[in-house]
Amino acid sequence: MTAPTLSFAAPDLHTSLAQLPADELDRLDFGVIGFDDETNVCQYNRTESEAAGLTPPRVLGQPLFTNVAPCMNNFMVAQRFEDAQDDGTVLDDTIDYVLTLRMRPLKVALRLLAAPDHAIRYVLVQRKQ
Amino acid sequence: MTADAAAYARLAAEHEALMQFLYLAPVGLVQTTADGEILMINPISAQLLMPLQRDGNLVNLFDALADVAPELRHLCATFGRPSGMVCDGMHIQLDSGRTGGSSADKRATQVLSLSLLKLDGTRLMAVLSDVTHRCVAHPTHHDQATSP
Repeated sequence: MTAPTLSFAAPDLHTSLAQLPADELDRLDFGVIGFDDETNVCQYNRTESEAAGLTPPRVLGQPLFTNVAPCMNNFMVAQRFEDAQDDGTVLDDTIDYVLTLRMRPLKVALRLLAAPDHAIRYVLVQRKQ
Repeated sequence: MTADAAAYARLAAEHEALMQFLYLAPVGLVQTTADGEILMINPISAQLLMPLQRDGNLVNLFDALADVAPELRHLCATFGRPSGMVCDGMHIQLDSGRTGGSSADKRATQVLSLSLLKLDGTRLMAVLSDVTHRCVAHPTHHDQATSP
């Protein structure tokens, strides 16, 4: 499977993303934010970078829910990851949300991916407008 | 690099730094029309307001706060001066279960502080912050409102 054929709604997307090199992540048409078990951002693809107006050096290594995407630091997103990590369960859910990219409200779908057997967790962002 | 390219790169870097400054501001900032339609909004505002929005459609500040501060729209509509503070540090108590934060926080009632500034006849600026822990520490603190 090549990167452009990976869609936001693809099944078993977590496994596919974990195997993609950075240049192929950059070719995806949805935003990819990968973060480690300390919630520090370790992957930030081009689609997300261009939408947010932030280059990867400003984001990589920063704690996701306080320094990169504080808009997601509530029970709808951050708490879901915390619960999945505490319980050792798989999280694969898509929710409607509003992001504040470049200070404009933007309707998006967020796909939340976490699994005990994957070191990297993901927030995927699909713009609706 | 040409002088133009260097100037562009410097402007782009400054723009990015300003963007990140606003992303990281630890209080919510919202600019709306006089009717509450959201024009600009920063991430903390979305963090605080999204859990209140039943349909996940955060487009109007008054609608987002309608269940917890239904008087806001009227307060703004009847504010007599062409500009000025409509309310300053008004406390808005949220139902438990609507709140963000950790599971422990969700069991407690969350309190937001809202200041609303009328910029002119068409724009409002709101500042939102979570003052739950401050209210627990200082339970005698009262709400404040600036009379029009």
